[in-house]
Amino acid sequence: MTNHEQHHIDLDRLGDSIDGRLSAEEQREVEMHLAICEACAARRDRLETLVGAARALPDEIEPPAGAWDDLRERIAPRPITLSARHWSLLAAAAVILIALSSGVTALLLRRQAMVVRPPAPLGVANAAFILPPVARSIDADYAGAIHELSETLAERRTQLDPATVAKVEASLRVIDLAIDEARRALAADPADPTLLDLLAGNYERKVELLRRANALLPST
Amino acid sequence: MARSQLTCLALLSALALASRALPAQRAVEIRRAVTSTASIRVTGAFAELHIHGWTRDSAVITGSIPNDARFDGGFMTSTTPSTGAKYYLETASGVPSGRLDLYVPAGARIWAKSGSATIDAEGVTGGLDLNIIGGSVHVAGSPHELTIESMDGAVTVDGSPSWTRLKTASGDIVLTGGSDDAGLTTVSGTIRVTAGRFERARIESVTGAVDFAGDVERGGSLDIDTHSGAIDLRMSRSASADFDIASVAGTIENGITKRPAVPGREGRGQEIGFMTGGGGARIYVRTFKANIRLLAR
Repeated sequence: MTNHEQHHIDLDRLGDSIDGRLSAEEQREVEMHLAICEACAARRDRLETLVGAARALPDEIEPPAGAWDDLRERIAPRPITLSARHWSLLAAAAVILIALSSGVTALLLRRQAMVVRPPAPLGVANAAFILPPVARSIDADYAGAIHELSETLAERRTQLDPATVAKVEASLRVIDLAIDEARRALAADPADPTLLDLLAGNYERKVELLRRANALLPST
Repeated sequence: MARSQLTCLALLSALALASRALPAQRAVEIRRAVTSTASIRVTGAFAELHIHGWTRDSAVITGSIPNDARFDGGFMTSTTPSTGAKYYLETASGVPSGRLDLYVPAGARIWAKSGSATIDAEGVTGGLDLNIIGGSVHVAGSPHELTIESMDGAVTVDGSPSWTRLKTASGDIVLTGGSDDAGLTTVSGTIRVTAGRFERARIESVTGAVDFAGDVERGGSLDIDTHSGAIDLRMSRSASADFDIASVAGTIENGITKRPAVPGREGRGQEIGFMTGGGGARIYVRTFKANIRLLAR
């Protein structure tokens, strides 16, 4: 048995390997070990599958219409009689569920912390985090106006001086970064009224700037 | 070659170069009797517009424009005095050029729009609505209504318009004078209010710094909010005001009273609330991550 077989690779290191966060030398060591250790290779495969599945998850999930009514009906109190065997099965299922959800949450959090996305394209919300409903409602309040104004501007941008377009786009990028920061902060502290005001204020300024840029277009 | 001949040659060369750089110009001169509150609209590719409010009941447009430019428009009614005029300048290249001087009754309402231009206005007490992309706008005097919009052009107002909205994308805004109702907005320019008394003022910036050194009426309000633009608020220690100040992730330095700022929600950022002079004006300042300085003057 070689030294590699004696010391299996722990889960964190395997995760780092999959995420490409190891140095070239560390990665080489891990690869060498995986080549000769079936147990670790199997764990790596399972982890890769899990991470792949997590990546495929949507950033936000809206429950289907009527889901709440259905759920309310299902959880309505009913007389239940459980045998000792049922109780032990339920307990085992709960333990498995907790372990699974903790594992997936830890993995997702680890991934989220390292995701550094480039600024979203103009007019497109960056949703790499879960937004509280109140922030989503602010997003929705301005989405229509921003979409409409951005689209008109995009369609007719050739009618503007390129230097003017560059100025407008530079300012929109500044506002988009501010919006993104405010949204991320709200994801961490959804009840902060100051953050809500600041987010709405940034959206106001974006709409205003888009409106002004559209006003520069030659009248048709 | 003699020295005088060399000088002559140099002068002629300079003249030739200048004539190539500047297209031939022609003069513009239009005069008409107008009402004291006439509406005058000047748009197009002018490079300079100088607006003068005067006490006469007539409007005069003078200036020089490129020979190949179109200067169209006219007064709105055939009767005299006219209630308004619309003029449009179009240059062959589309590049702003030419200089116009507009003399109007002080109470007139002026609407001017150009690409990159220098606009000066003085002595107008009616209304001004000025719109540029680049260049600069300077207003001296106190129009009843003042709206200035620019992208990266600087905006300077020396006066106290009753109602004013100054908006830029990256241009700096300077207001020296108060207002009953002021709204100053920028994305990344700076906003400086150097003096004046305000009934209601709202100042907004994304990354540009804000420096406010005006006074707020006892029952008035001042709202400032920025994302990351630093805020300096300079007020008298005896001002009758209630302060409500918060920075979500920045710091607050209080030089107006002895009360220190305290940590904000969940221990991050800082906030402070206090009253001076028995309270009165509502001073409400919010920023996401900038530092705020409350300075006594």
